[in-house]
Amino acid sequence: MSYQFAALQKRALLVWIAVASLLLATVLPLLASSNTANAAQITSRAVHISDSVAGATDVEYEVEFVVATTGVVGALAIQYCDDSPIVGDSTCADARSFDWAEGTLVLSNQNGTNSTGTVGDAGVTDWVVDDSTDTNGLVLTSATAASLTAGDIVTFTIGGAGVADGVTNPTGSNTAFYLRTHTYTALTSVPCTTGATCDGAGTDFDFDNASLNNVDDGGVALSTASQLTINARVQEVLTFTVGTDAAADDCAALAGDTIDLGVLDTAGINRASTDPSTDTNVGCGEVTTNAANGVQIFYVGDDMKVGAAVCSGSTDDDGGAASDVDQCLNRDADADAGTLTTGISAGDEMWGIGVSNLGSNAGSNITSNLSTVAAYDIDTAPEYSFVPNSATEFVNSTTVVNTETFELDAAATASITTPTGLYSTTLTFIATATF
Amino acid sequence: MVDAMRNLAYRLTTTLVVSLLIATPLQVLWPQSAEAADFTSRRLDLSDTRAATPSDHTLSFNWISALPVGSMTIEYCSTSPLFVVACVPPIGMDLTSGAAFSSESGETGFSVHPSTTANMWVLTRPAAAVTPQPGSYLFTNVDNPTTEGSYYVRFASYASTDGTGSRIDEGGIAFSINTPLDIGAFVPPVLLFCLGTSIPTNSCSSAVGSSIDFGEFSTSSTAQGTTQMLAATNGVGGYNITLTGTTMTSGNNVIPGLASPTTSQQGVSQFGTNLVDNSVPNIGANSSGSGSGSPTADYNNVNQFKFVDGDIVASSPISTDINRYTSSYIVNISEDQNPGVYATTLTYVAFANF
Repeated sequence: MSYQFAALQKRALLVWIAVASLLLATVLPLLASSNTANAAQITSRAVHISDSVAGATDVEYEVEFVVATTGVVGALAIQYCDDSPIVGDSTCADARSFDWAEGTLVLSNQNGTNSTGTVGDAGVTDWVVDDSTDTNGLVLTSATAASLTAGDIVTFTIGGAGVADGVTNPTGSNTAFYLRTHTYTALTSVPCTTGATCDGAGTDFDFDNASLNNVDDGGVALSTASQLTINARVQEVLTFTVGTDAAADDCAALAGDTIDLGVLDTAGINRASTDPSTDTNVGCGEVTTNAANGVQIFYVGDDMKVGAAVCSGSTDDDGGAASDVDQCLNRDADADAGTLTTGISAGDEMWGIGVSNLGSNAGSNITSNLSTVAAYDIDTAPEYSFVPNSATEFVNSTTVVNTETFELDAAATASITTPTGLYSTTLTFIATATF
Repeated sequence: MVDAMRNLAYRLTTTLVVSLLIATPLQVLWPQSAEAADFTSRRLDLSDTRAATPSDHTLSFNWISALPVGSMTIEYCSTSPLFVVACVPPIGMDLTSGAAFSSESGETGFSVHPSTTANMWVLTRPAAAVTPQPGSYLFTNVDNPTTEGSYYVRFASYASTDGTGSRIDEGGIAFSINTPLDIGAFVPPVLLFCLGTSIPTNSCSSAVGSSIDFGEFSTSSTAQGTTQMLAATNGVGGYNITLTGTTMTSGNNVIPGLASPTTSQQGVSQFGTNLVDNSVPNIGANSSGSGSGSPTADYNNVNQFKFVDGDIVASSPISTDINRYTSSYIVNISEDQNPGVYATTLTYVAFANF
């Protein structure tokens, strides 16, 4: 029996010890915050930083909190800590080079919203940086202490939009750091000599000094963050298609590879785009490239002639010496002559190619960057030209091109002596982009 | 509590694994991009863009990094110019068969390395520091891919002499293989020929008149008249113009045609023609125009006339532009020429030789 009683006594003792431990655990933190026993905790507190890179300089810290206690606020202090946001906690290391940059620090956007929701009608608007500010302790004072109502939203920004007028972030990427905010009715200079958070330098502000009229306080956690580098590469693009299409179709549907100029005579000029009796197909090209330096489009081909006929010397009819009786059509030589002539005249054996209707097919982000070399620009003047057996540029751009098209027309006429026969040539087109 | 810790550990582990999974391929895909610079002003000029056609390829670009370079790779791909994308060789290309590295400018001293493949040139030289400058490299007789479309070249420089190791600089180019266009036209056989008593321009549409009225013949004067012809052809053998018909007759009465070139003689019955400018009588005109045609010999004598059925009166041995011929006709009669209404119909026929 006595043994049972002793056991019960022992169990009761353990229960009381447990209860006492719980009570002690609950009360101890309150005792540790004895300096803030009279202060209420500000709510909805946040600090938005403009740059989270560790060690970044000239960073703006936008402070925002809701006033907990109605009363006059004439001073505000923000304490930086490496390791704890708890107001009154004696642990407050400052080993990561954080710096409020007192000498150049600018305050901006001092504003607020009152408890009834009126924007710009709360807070203190004349905060100035107090001389007692140092690298880890920011102290602000107001010449016209404001009377704030619980629920007012106070906002202001530490740091301005200028150069080197902001805060220096702590070092250490992806590492948390903390700010403890205190409001006071007025600032009483209290050099830190013995305070729990005093760093011993002799001029630090003692945030938790009991002699200060601490109104509200609260802690905020922030963090530095590593930057992510995102790489992507856009590959070089050149698409170039050539074909034929009906002249009225604006190169919408490339098909075929033959342009038939029909039967030539002295009475007129046959143009691929209009006159041939057999069809009105024109050549079409469509080009797209992301080459920043643009694209050059060349053609290469022989004179129009009958089979393997040998031309009698130059076919440059602009020079006047070309033969009208060989089985080679003379050519309008504006391009290599460097001068624009009057073009092709009916009955005066000549042929050439020209470009018209620069445009585009359907799509998005279509550009309009293609240009026609003057000797081939039949939209401006009836200029046709042809240079045989040499890569000759006739369309180009100086920058990117997206889904742009051009129509390649051809024109020819025969002299009375132009020998009968089927005249033909094959043109190869080369698009060269410079990336 | 234990479950919560396990859950947290699981989440951390999962996050770590996912992060590693993401990070690993990124590093594999971009092992060089952070270091290699891009060659600038990159272009590939092809002398011929037809599929399956031997072509000269000229690669041009600006050298960038002033570092020792001992080799270059120039790789043709049908998929992408990016080194991070697997290269699929274009079908039909074989740089080891017939193609040649022909010339170089800028950074020089390169030659073809034995490790060159069907779609990749490996150029080697003793490693030497690069001078940033334009460079150009010509490869001849390169077989273009066999199908039309866009293709790519990726090229890079290396410190090694065999195209291995880290890329120093790199670049990509896109080029296009295209279908050529055929342009055709037909020039038909042409023979331009027309007649009239007057053809004032070089167009047959201006021809007018088809008869000559000599009026009343006289032994003391020469009856005369003219007609005109235009002729041209693109026949390579030129043309012949033949005069057919009879001399002037009135029933059984005949004014004899001149069988050979003969002068006009009043009081002698004669009928003749020529195609020149005469003074006795003052009639006719020489042939004109830029063509190569001319009267034949018997009809090209001043003041001498002839008429023989079937004679060729004008011709051109080659294709010719337009010539205008003026035919002059003279009629003289003798004292015993029987009266009557004399007439004839003359036909000119032009034959072109194509």
